Amino acid sequence: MEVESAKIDEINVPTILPAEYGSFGLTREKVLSIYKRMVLIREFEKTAEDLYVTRGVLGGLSHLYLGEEAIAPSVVSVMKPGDMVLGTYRGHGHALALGIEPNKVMAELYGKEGGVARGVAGSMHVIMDPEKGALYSTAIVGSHIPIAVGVAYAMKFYGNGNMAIAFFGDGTVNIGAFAEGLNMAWYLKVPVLFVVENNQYAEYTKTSNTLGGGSIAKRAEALGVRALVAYGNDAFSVYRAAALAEADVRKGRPVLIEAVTYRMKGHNPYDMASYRPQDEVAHWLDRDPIKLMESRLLSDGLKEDDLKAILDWAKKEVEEAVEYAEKDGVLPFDALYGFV
Amino acid sequence: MEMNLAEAIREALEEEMAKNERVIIIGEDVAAAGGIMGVTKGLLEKFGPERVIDSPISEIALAGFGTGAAMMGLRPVVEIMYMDFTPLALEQLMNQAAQVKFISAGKLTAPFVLRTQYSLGRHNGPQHSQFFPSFFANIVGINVALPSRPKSAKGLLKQGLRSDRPTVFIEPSYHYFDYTEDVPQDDYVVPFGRAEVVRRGKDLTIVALSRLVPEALAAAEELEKKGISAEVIDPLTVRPLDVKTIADSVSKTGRLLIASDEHSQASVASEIAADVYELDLAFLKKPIRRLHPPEVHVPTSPALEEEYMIDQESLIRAAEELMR
Repeated sequence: MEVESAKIDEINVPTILPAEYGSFGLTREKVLSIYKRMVLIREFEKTAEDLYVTRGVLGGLSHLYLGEEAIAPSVVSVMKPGDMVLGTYRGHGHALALGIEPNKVMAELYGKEGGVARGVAGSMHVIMDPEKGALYSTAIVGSHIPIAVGVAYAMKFYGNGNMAIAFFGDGTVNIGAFAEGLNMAWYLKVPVLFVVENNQYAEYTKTSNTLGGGSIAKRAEALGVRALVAYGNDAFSVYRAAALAEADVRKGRPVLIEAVTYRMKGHNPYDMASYRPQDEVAHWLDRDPIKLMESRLLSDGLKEDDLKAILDWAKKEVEEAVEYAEKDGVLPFDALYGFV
Repeated sequence: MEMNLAEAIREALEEEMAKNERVIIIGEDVAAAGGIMGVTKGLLEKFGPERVIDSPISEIALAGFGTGAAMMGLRPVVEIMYMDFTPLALEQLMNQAAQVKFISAGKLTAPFVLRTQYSLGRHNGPQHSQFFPSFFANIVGINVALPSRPKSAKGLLKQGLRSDRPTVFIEPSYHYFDYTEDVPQDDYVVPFGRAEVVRRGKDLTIVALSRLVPEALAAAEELEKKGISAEVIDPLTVRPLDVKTIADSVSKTGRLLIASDEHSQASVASEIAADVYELDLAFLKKPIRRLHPPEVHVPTSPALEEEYMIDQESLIRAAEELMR
């Protein structure tokens, strides 16, 4: 274990300076690409929140990635063609990080035909474009963990050096599929990377209050899965952990990364998260992953104008996605019979 | 070639594995031990540890593994030792495997076979004997096969391994070893959704599920001696369910007896009865009769278990009542 994670509130991962990132395989190009995805996700999710809550255009369940934007874009940067991501109901960020067009993700939220799943599956299932490495997402906590083990077994069987990556939240480590899945991954020696986005709340309940043993990373290690702890608001820290894990994982030694972060908002867009202490919220809002990344980029030679150009691009992408989704049609009902 | 049910199932597995290297088997005790009743014996030696895999006692992970490996193009046969353990895997089956194609709007499928067996009649008690196919028959997007006899079982398993949907394959271990029949050596499939009329008759129709198919055939022989000609139908699969073959038979006989080791409420037998009623009431000479075990759990004591179980005698009695 790289860092003791018994008390996640006090986590103290050494800051990685831009001058060091080359030592673990990051390049300026990759950093910029991660940053662009982070900003795109932030803008997309802000708009989604607006559409669900303020404007009431969208309805149903949705789970935003606000505050966790450093994680998915950094992890997927170590992927090679044929690697596959499996995720959850909090998946808009992963879909966008994998390069799925914002139009298709937004149309899925709208239930329109141009969505990644033709509008059939909705917000909780947007990680869906196998050609881009987006294999599957489930709305049931933890159920994709054993599925990822099966996916990874197939990759090992075919011997093509690919790996599966399963993203999930901290609440997931209390569900049976987590223990069974990690143990099975260890037993079968399959190339699977588990990424826990530890946003510290399992729905509305503080995770540390319900976590026997107090540590997610230790729980993974007890099941034979090597654990790395990363600072989830720091893209460099997450990338470093993913790069460290990758070599092991591709050799059939599963790794779990615990990326400690914080949900900026509630469990879903309608949840005002009043169960969280205000000082805790303030502490973490002050550690915005995008602002942290921007300060690094500025000290690495980028100009404010460069950042603004990226923000403008992201806003435009999201605006166009909303326009596309608004105009798009709904699949004829009879098409559903072709999907069962 | 003469073989029993266990041998026919093993032969189907062996032939499919030889034909398609993407067919793999995983389950508790299936490899080194060859299965607790020997159904998978010899397959590890023949196909190696990458394709015949002993698993930890992890039913959730087993069903999830099958789903994930199938999504990537493997054809897993996941064995869950007793049917009583399958509810542990039900979440994976109904929310994940059955819905993969839907959630992906047709981009992905998860075609694996979940083999299991119910061992009513082997004195294994209330948690190792149960039969509840309606749990699975209610799930859209999967197949539910109830192999009952060696010849059809072989073809059904092969069909399951070539289907594009997950298939739950429930075997009656009561009949694994107790009789043999001639099983063709050639490569054949038994299509899903087509019931088999296993005995022709004209006075009444007996639809029997799983373990009770051979029992119903034996009962029909006895009924014949009493001057009652029973037609016996084996649905083979209960999702899809071939109502037409059953209804055609009932339109001829006018009497329907459905025999199943399930408890009666919300059972597959209820479904068959409802489907026949919906088609046409006019041809029924008597109300449909369902024969089920009593409303208690399966007792372990051999004497009590015997009393619990439907047998030839109770089938004959129910048939005679319908003929009155």
